[in-house]
Amino acid sequence: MAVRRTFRKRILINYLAVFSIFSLVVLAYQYDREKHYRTAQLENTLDNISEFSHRYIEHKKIFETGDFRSLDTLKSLLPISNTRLTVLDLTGKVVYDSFVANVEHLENHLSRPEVQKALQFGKGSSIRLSATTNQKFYYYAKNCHNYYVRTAAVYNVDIINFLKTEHIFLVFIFFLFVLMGILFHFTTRRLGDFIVKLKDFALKAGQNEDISKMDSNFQDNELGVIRRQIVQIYDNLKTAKDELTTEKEKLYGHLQVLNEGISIFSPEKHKILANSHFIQFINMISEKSTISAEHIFTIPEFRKVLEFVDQYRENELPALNKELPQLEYTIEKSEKFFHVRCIIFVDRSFEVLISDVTKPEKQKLLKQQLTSNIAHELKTPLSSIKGYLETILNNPNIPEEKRKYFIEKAFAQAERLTDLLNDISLLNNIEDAGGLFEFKAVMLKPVIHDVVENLKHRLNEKNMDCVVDVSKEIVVNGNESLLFSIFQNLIENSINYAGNNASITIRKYLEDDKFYYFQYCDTGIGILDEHLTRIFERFYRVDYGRSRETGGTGLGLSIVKNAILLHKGEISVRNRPEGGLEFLFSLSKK
Amino acid sequence: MSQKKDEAIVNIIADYEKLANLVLRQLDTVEKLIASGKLRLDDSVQEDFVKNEEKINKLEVKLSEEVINSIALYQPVASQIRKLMSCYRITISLERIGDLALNIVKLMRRIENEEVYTSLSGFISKMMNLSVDMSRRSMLSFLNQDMELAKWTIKSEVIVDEFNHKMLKKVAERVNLLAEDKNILISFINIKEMAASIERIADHAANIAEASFYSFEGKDIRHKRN
Repeated sequence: MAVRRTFRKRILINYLAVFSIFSLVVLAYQYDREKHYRTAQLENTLDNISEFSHRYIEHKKIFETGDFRSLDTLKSLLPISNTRLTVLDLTGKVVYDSFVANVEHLENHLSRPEVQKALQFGKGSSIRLSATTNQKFYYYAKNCHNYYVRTAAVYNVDIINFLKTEHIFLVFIFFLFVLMGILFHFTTRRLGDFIVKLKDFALKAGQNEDISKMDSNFQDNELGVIRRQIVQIYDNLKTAKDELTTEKEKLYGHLQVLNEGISIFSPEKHKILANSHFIQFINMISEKSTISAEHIFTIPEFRKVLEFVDQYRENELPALNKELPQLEYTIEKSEKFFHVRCIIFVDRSFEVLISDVTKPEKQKLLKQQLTSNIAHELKTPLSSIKGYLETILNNPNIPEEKRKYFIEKAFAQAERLTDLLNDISLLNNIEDAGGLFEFKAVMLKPVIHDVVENLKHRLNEKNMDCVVDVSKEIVVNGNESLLFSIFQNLIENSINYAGNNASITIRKYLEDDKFYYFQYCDTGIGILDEHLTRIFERFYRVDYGRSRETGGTGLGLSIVKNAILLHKGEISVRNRPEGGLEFLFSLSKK
Repeated sequence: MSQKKDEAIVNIIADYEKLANLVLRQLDTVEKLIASGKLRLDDSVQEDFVKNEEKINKLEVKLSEEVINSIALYQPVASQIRKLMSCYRITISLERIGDLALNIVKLMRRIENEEVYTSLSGFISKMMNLSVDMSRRSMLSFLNQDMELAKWTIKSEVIVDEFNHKMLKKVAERVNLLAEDKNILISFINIKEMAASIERIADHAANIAEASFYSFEGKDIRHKRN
């Protein structure tokens, strides 16, 4: 914005105009008064001369003698040289004129305005151009009962004379003018400075520059108040704005780290904001790369959202106090599950939320699978038992030997069922109620020793031996029965699957501040690499057909893994290059 | 004036988004081509591909001019200059990525021994996936001012580098076995070139991420990773 004329200049110009007009008016008034004064003075002089002449005529009895020429002596006596003196009789006939010698040729003067006035009021005056001398004259006539005395003088009250006579007055006016000018110059300069400062100040505030540190040389007058108010308003606004910005940034930051994808769109479907997860999710779903959130409207999976939004663009939105319209559904795309939610706000802007629900969805599937697995695993021994018992019931004449065989078989299956139920309940306890296990310092060597003693018979059957290289001093923070289960299940796993003549080694190979690291390995046949990642899954069997015969429940390694995790340890498995399976796991120190 | 300046920056970012999307579309096309195991694009796709490349080049010039103009005309403040300069650097990289995508497609047409290509295409495909992912995340990181994405991209560059070196080893082994067969050798070299181009894409993605980092942190981390 260009300032055409500064405020100060305007004030100065206005002042000068006003003061000039004022001076002119004063001058004109003074001139007029002076004119009046002079006229009155002239009239007074002429009246005196008339009176004087009248007295002279009376005294000399000129009217009786008719010797008007003697008035010429009067003419030389009068102080004003070029005063014209005329005497008229009552009929208006000129009987004497100081300028004209031959009065007989002069016309009758009765019709002259000054004479007319004198006839009526006793005296009269008039300003005219004299025909004889071609000069402006002031005529004054006086009625003296039986004649008129008329005097005239050059009317000369013009401005030149006035200026000449009154130059002191003019100098005074001029001086006043200059003085006021200087005074004004200084006041307006001060005012102008204030205003310029105020302007700079306001400009800076407008450009969002920092104004709090600006020179605050404003005095304690109205301008100072204005400045303070501006600063206050500005400060208030700035605080409010800063707070809003911080809040917005916080919100933005929060949205960025959110695990959900979120995007807010304007009613025209333009992005207002979208976090990175949102973009990545729509990339995953569409299998196309983009960095624009608007891309969502071209993806077939999101057609529902588009229709939903369009529907509410035309329809009336529900009243404020009602719930906002929402759309929710799940998209499945290449083994991933996304939960999509769209909410339309009152101003018809809307947000789209996408969350990756693959994990919970998968877990749901896993649970279903597990339930059916458990059912299946329970059914197998149960139907065996049922089969054996049926045989015995339906064949009462069965030989004692055979009967005993069937009963033994049924008993074995019942044992298996018990094992299975025990394992399931143990596993569930570890998973769901891990807190119920009491943790304390446990000496590991006796535990392992007990396990080996327990399984000695079975180890001998397979001609396997077990080397335990764990020193007495090793004390771990754990639950004795869980630790027992860990080693029992590991050794049983080797008994069941490693094959005959295998040798088992259990040793501590490392320790640090917090953990002991153990190696458990056998010299058996190992497992194909493709199964390695899955052997900790429940009921996972490398060979479905054969392994159930060997007696495992399919839960052993699951129990091992979960129990070690509950001990805050870790477990991994690999095939040893020299053959056999190797587990590496850690248990926390006391 | 400051309103005009803001407008100019918003326009530049909008153009950047357009350019980035175009480049990503090109990369998608190449990625799909490699994943499909074919050596040439369908004709209609090829036509689109070449047209897009022209669009990218035009947009790059436009964007660079916009950036320079806005610096010259509107006296941006420090953070805005950072943003604009980063955008400028990113634009250059985006254009280069576009060129490289075209390069890859051209090189693939020249591979004559399909058998050799098939034996390595899984490897190449993985490399491409990672590079495209890096590109996408780095471009997004600038748009969304997301430092995590930028950091991820910069770290990932090492992996693509490693891919490229492994490739060289694999090729070297093969060449020893079939030293006589020129045809195969040429195919190998072409595939190697392809891999080099892909590696360059990852490199540019890292550049973009660095520029984007500079834009919001003001720290120049070029040539001093960690």
